[in-house]
Amino acid sequence: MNCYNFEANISAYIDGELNQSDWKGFTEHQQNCTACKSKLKGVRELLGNMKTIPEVTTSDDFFKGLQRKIETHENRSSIIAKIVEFKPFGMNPLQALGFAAVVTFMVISSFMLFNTDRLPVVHFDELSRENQLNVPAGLPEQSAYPQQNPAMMASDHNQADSTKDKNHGNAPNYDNQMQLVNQQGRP
Amino acid sequence: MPDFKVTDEELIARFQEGEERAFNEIVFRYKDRLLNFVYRFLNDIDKAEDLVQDTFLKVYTHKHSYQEIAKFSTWLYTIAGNLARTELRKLKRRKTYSISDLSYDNKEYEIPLIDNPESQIESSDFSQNLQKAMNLLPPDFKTMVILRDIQELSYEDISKIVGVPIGTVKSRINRGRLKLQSMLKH
Repeated sequence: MNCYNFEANISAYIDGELNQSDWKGFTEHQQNCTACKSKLKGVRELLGNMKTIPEVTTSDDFFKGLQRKIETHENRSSIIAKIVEFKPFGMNPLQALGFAAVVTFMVISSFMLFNTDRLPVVHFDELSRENQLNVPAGLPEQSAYPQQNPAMMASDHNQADSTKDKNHGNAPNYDNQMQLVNQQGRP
Repeated sequence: MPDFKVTDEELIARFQEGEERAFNEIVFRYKDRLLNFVYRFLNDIDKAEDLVQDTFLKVYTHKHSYQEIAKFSTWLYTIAGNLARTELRKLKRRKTYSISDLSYDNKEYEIPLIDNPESQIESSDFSQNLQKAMNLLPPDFKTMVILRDIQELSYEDISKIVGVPIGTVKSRINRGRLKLQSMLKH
């Protein structure tokens, strides 16, 4: 038996649970290895000392404290039981909750249906006109709200088409802009 | 006077039938044994007593959960062990928070961390030394060593209480003892 196996078998040896061959190997190793012998001695001493450590006892108020905890628990349980057993109009709590939800829904929806006097009236025509007037200064109206001025859109489209025609079909004419850049680029 | 002729299983059966006196008898039989177990685990006598009360409260409120397929003491120690482990986890979490919450100035008063935990034990009293060494063991090892070497329960009962096979219990107790012996030697 090596030191590792010796260590692993210390408790089994103390408890008398080793079989004959293991017991023989254990005792032989113990005689030849002082470190393992010392370990076994240390564990034996530890176990002996552990039996001598003073025991603690419960305080005099232990039963009172326990009684208090039991009473608190029973009171809490009875409150929960009362809630569970509570039957308004002979209904169980779940039915009562459902009934209350339906009644609340009906009250709110009837209020919304019949009490329309205080609801604000929204004039959508006026709102759209205001939006048109609120176009920021400097921006052409069609760029902000192109869909609101179809006539102008059509004229733009025609203009673009005429430019396309002048410049051999597809590419738009940028001659003016290029000239401007050249002028600015000169010293 | 406690009636030790009646077994624990008979007492809990009587309590399940509504006999309150049987519950008192159970409390009387186990309060100190459980206190020693929990105290060695938590190292705080007030918390340990509180936890033992909670254990009996659980017995009181869940009396019908016990079925006579296991020993009553096994069931009782399982409840106490679970509560103690939960409490230990809470305490550790609280300790971590409180240390991380310390300001720079307060850190001067922190206990310095020593690389070798074995050298933390310097007290001369064996009981105190043992308690300190126990606190350095992992919770599973600690539970098993306490149950075996202080409470003197059988390996089989310990195996049922902690819910691991007997072989694992034996090897952990052996390793726990070696670790304790090594820590106490230094």
